Amino acid sequence: MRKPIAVLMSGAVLVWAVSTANADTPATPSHTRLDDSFAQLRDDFNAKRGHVRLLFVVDSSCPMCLKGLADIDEALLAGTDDPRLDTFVVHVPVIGGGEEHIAPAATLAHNDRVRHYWNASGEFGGRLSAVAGLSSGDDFVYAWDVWLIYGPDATWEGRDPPKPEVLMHQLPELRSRSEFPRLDADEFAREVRQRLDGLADAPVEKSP
Amino acid sequence: MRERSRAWSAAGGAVGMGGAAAFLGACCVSPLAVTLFGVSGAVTIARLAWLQPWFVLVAAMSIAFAFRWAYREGSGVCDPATNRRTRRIVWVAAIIATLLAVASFVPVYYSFV
Repeated sequence: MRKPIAVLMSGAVLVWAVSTANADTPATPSHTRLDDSFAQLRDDFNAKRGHVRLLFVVDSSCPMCLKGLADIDEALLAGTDDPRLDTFVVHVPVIGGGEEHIAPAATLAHNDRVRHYWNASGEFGGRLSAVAGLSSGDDFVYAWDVWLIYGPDATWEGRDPPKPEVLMHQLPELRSRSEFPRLDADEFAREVRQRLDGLADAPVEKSP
Repeated sequence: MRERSRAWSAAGGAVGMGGAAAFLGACCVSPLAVTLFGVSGAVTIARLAWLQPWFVLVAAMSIAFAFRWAYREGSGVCDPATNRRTRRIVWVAAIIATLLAVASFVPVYYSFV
């Protein structure tokens, strides 16, 4: 009678020990939390000055956003390991996407130089919209499902992100704005490669 | 008898196509797609979104055929009650298919933000 009890207790202690050990060992973080100063993203962005930088704003539970990410991955990200190309993906809650959706969504980008951020308040989309001038008539258009390209000279000063060189989107409200083309992954990849070609003489960062 | 079953089939097809269009329209803006089908499934559904207007077109054609067969003279159905029932079913199917088709376009034009 005593033996089964001892086995059970040993098992319980083992389970407790394993779970405690797991709790103490942080899982590999899939993303960085972004407060409304966006300071972490700004620092990361500016640290890559001289590179071509991509900025995506998505809700990671939005199928069209995920499709955009998958399309750009196929057209560009999966096929390059160019160290002069950096990608920042800001996840915002628009239709219900949460922090728990980021890790699965991140699997769509097959490139080591993609970083993910979570802005819980969604403030980032509002600020980016104001900077980029997203509107439909007099109506404000929140910036999500947008795909931006920044050249090597872009510098992020102050709180708001800089104005992008190229902004593509998948937003119905922006259909009438010809300066903001609808996302075409192949065209997006072409724009990026064109800028990378222009960096031919720029110093190439060495991998650690 | 044959006309009646054709009318019913076409009406059913219209509702099915309207439902498929509404599914594609809703899935592209709903987090439910990710919950139900995962990230890859949601991407696949979003990639099929271009089919949505075609589904609506087929639904409209099916309804047109359903009406044609339901109201055709000399359709071989002698029982007026059967005729009335067939026509009622076609009308109900037309209303449901129309509602589904209209609903399928809502997410295409509004992103709810």
